[in-house]
Amino acid sequence: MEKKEKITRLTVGPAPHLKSSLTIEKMMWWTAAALLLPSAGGVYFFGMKALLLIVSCSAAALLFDAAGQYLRGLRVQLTDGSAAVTGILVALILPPSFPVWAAVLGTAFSILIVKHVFGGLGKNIFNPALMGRAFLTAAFPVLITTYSINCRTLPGYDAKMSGAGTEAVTGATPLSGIKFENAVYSGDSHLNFFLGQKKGSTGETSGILILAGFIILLANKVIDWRLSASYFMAIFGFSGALWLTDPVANVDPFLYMTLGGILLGGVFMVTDPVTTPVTGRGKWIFGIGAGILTVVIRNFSGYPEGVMFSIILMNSVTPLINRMTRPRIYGT
Amino acid sequence: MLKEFFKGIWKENPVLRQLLGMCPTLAVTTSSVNGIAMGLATTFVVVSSGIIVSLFRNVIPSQVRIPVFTVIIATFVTLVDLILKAYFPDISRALGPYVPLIVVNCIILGRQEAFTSKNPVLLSVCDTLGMGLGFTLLLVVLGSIREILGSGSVFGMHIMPAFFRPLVIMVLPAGAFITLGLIAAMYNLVNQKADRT
Repeated sequence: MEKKEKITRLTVGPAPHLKSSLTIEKMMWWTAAALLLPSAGGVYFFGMKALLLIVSCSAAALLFDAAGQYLRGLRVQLTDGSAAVTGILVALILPPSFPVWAAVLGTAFSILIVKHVFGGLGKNIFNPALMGRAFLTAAFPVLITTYSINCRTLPGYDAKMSGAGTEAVTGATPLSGIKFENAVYSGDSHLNFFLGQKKGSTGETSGILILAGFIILLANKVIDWRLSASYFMAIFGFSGALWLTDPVANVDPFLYMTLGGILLGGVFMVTDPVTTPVTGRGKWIFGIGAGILTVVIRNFSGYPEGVMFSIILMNSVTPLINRMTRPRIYGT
Repeated sequence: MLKEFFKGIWKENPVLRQLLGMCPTLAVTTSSVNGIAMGLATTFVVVSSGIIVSLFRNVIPSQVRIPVFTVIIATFVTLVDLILKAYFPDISRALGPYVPLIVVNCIILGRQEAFTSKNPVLLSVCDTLGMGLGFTLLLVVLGSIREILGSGSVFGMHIMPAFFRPLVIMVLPAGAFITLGLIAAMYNLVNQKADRT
């Protein structure tokens, strides 16, 4: 009875039955590749210190990821690239003058506490890189707000005009300048800031390089355009509305978008597939919520920048958004 | 009797196993001194009210037992509060409202409800003393870790080398949650390992 002749084998496996060539490894390595552009920008504008920060954070991330996998009794493998991406991101959102040992400590927190304690790749609730920075913000409040490396001036530009060159205001980034010193930036600032000639975190200076990375990611379908689009639109709309009500006190929305970490966060953090909703409507809610929170924190709180906290806050409600926007099952 | 005493320290540790008394655990453990003061104050209250409740356990009507326990506990908390204010004003100031709040610490009411109202005095003393010391022990460990990393000192003495930079986060509420979470994880890990063997 059991002994039947060979029949055509029908493979019955669990869903999903469609196979995509886009694997996790591919997504992560494409992200790492796209991150090289803002990294290169950081090294160009801030020099060797930025390179040292990026290299040591990525190396530390790989090391701590291996340690985390070993401690959890897993087979150690680093080829998925997620640790490298986290490491680079941690470096890119820190000030270029940030001490390397402290950056390594933040990376350890990102990988060991935020990623591995919550169950490893794909199971973390919060974006590891952002939580690493949040940890460092709370742990070293002075170091994290010290931007002591001046930005290199682009050839053919007047450093004084840009508010970013060596002769410009020392200490303050444009964001904290606007917030605490009532600094006013001239019409030229738009292009300068967009090209990257401003003080700030290592990877957030050059908008044009970040957008180039954005195109790489979109072209390879690594990220979902809805998350970034809703995030940028919400910020543009909200800051534009504020600017229309009071053009003197508020920055115009075009300049607003080039300041701080909005572009970097909107391209590389808001689009994290692990910590953001999976449903289409959920992605819109997430992006709009994060965008509104960013502007609220930036304009109405004691912090000059709100990208980090807004995304972390929205990360924490991602499971709720997923549940809220669950597609209706046919027949119910 | 010894079993009743030691269960509070490890096996049924009020914070790590029963997850009671979270509010003082997280709020006052910014330094080891605060931890030990809060722990000993709570121990005193839980042991003394345990003795009284145990003595009167047969005459307290069960319908009004919770108000009665609360009044007994509040009496001893008032004592502790006034003693701290009179003899240790610094500690009293550092602990702030958390001393009067010992009244509502669920470890204390929980012990009366679960143990002392059903057991003789000597057993009640063992039980409450164990619970109080288990609580104190955890508060000292938590407070010391946070003080070493957050201020570079332990029991007020500076011990970390000069190049050490204090992690401000450890004296903030977030540091309390992270440290307590890691301690609880270690506790579960040790228990799991012990169960297996």
